[in-house]
Amino acid sequence: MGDAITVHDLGIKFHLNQRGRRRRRRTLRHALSHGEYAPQHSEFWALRNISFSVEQGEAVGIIGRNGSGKSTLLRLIAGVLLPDEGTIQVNGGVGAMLELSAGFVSALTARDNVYLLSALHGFSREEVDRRFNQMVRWAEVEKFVDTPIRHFSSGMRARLAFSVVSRLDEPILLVDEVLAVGDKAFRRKCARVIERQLSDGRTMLFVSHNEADLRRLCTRGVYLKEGVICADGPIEDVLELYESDSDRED
Amino acid sequence: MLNVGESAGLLDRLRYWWEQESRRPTGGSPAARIAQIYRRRDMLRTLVARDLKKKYSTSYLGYVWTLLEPSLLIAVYAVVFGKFGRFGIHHYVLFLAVGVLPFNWFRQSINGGTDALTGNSKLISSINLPREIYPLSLVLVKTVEFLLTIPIIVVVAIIYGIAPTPSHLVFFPVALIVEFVLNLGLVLLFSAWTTLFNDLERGLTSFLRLWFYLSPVLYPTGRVGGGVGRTFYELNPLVGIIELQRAVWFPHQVPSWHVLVVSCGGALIAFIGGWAAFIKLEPAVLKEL
Repeated sequence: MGDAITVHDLGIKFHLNQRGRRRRRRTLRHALSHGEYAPQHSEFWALRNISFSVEQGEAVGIIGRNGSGKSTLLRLIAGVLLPDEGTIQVNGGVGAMLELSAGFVSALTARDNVYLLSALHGFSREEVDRRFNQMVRWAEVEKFVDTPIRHFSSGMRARLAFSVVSRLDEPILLVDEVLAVGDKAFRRKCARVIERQLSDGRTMLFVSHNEADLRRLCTRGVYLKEGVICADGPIEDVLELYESDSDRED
Repeated sequence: MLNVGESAGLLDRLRYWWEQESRRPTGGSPAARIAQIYRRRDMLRTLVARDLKKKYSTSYLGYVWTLLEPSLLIAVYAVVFGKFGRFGIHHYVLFLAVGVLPFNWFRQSINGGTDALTGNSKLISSINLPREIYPLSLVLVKTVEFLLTIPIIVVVAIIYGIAPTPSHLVFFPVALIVEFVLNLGLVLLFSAWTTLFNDLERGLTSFLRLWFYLSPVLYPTGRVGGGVGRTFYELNPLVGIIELQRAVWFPHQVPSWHVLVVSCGGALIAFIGGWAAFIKLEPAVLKEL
């Protein structure tokens, strides 16, 4: 089988300000005075020299500490960030489950929001009409379909969003920490959905801090450390390395 | 699939190219970007509907506000400048309405445009849509709101007992298209700029106020005088746009050719420049969202 994702020599940098915070907006004064604009020492490579490929049907877990570039990598592959160096080749449609409830408008009702989020993810109206009841039932919010979503708890929002987005039938899935929200029962439900998608032969990149989820869902692990790939291999080995690394830093 | 052998006609090749380019998620040449946006026109419609719905479903007065706000503005100008001789213009309230509403559309677009990307930051950083969709949807929303205020002009005209000049009705769609292109270009530019440079948003407010007085909203262009000053004055694309709007109701106020050329040219330059800047700044903007 061919490669679903090929990443070659990928790099992306952000600007740091004096306080060391990332992604600060530049002021006009900064931009106008050439000396201060993007000086070398204020650059920070969030990812650099990243090369790997993912075969079709493979499930890869991305592991690393906070700020190691896991989410940035997923965003680059999803195309919502553009790299400063290197190339990304993706064979087939990408379903990005990054920030699930990002499209929600809190003033609108759950019903309107389901249609809105579905439309933004490319579902047709007829498809949503057909699946609406099923989606709402899965999210366990049948009673609240005509309630503005601002009255929803964060767990309810997450359930509803997952219920919409998990119906994406793209061959490549990018999943960022979606299982981290919600209660135990919901997480188990989500995991089941993802397992079913994987058994359909889809390719998946999975960012998580939960080792049980990683072990169950993924076959391969990629360990990111300070923006570079530190290890790439079977999930068990990579997790072991990550653990011993974390222990040492304690 | 389409046949794209050597013998394929130009039209077939073009269709094949369009099909390929529109399938790419985002990026590429301007033509490719148009293909991508066209393919996602449903999402564009959804975004426009979302913003209108958000605005009108949360307030009881809804559409009344859309009419009331500009009406009050027109009333204030009419009272204040009525005291000062209204520049010797007959039917001054109609004259004002036809100027204030297109300018309001312009101002609302620019003001809203500063937030077109930052206001959708979560969406932009989690769903891969052509980024141009967000400024475009904002300009479309403001266009709809402008069209919804047209009844104000009609009502004022009825009160005065004035009918539009039939042969001049064609000026209305022309003014509409030119201003749409101008607004879109500037919104593309400013939506990207304000994401990168925080200070710009404030500067724009003052700039728009200045622009208001440099446009023939309250006074006729004839009052500007002649010479070099006038030539500079007419470089403002809104001069031609507002004059075109006025020509529909005031038969003797047809703008001169060179003003029209400047307006169309200015709008086109704003669009091309704005979009080029947008494309160039896109990678940096995405990092800031």
